Amino acid sequence: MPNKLFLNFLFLLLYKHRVKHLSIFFISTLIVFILSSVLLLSHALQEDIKQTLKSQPEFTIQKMRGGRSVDVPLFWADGFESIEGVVDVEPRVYGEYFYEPNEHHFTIVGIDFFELAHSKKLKKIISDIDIKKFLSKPNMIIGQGVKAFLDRYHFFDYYVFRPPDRSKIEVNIYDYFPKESSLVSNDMIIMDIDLARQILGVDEDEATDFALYSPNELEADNIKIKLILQHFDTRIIQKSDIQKAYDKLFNYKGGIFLILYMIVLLTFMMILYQRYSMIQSSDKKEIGILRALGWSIKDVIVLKIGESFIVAIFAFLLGFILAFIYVFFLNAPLLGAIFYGYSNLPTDIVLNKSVDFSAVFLLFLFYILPFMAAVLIPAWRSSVIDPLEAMR
Amino acid sequence: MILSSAFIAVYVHFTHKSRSIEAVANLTTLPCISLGVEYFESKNRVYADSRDKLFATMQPINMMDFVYAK
Repeated sequence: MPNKLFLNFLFLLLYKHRVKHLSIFFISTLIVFILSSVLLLSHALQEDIKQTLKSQPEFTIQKMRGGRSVDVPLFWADGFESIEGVVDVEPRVYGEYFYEPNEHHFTIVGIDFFELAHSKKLKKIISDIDIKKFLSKPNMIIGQGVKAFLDRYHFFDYYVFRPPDRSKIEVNIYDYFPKESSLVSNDMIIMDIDLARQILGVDEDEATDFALYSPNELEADNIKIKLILQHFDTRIIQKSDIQKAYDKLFNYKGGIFLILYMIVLLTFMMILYQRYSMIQSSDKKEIGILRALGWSIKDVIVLKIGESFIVAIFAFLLGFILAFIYVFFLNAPLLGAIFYGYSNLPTDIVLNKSVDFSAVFLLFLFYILPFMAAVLIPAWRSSVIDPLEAMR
Repeated sequence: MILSSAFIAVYVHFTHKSRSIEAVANLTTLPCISLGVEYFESKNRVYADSRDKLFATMQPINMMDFVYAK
């Protein structure tokens, strides 16, 4: 364990050679910053998305025709309800409304607010909402992205939808979703289910799909088989499938960055090796004096490794803290666009702050170990210099 | 040390979680992330059509399951 005097000398040396370490420090900080940003962003997104999984139904049933999903007839619900283990079958009406001039689309979700449970859920989002007033005329609640989009086209209070039958439906903007929910509500419009049917062109005796709830996970496989036996033209998506899809979505993008990191790290190791292999005459003299004063080769190696270690640690900490600020306080501009996509409405997502410490530790190891490995040989080569020759 | 302690302080101070995402998901019950994808792409990616192999599709049916179902 190095004593206080040794550490004092180490920091004095670092201060003296600060210009030599500066470039390495900045490159290291940049590398750690970029990779930490990707890890933090990817993890925060996955954590936020996991929140939505809890409310997902155990099964989603869609009717398929020619590889595409089409509307399901409502009478199918009777058959699904008769399956043992299914406690609730809920027809859902939702879809994308395409704004042709700008090639943007909104997600319209129809909710049956006459059901008490749904209006209670809405009150959790907008606490002071008056459901009676909301249902008294065509009203909608829009996400922040939709709001920004409609504001740009001067639709401050209402918007005129054009359903497939070429009629016009004017719908008032009643309220907005909070910004914190933008991850799921940015391009979302919520309205009464009958109004959504008219705008999306879903017939009264049809729905977009069915949500099936079954409390017992052990029964899931049996229920799935019974569902398949009832209708062969269906696609049955289980909650676990949705989870897998989410994992794939962000692990895939995070994985690309990890591969890039490997390449950058190898290049960085080579730069480090070259940088620390260049021993100047002043360095040689310094090592020579230390050796003449009785320092062993091991002591000099510890000193040189210590120098690099402190540079690496501080670069790691600074890079990570900068990444934290970039992701959670600045909402990851540019990098965020890679994960959210940027073709539709601009997404201004507020992420919940969460850090996967195991991933951070792994990053630390994958950064520190190659760093130290690259520095070790130059440190040893500089420490074995003959003291008499060095001081000449 | 100053940097790390400052980070921990900031982290601990700001770790409250917003529940509004969960509240919206409870209402809609949709796995619908507001991804800014092109208009011809599937936004509800987990419900993507069979042409989009990257995302969730129905698991293949095992014929033995029918045997046990009887």
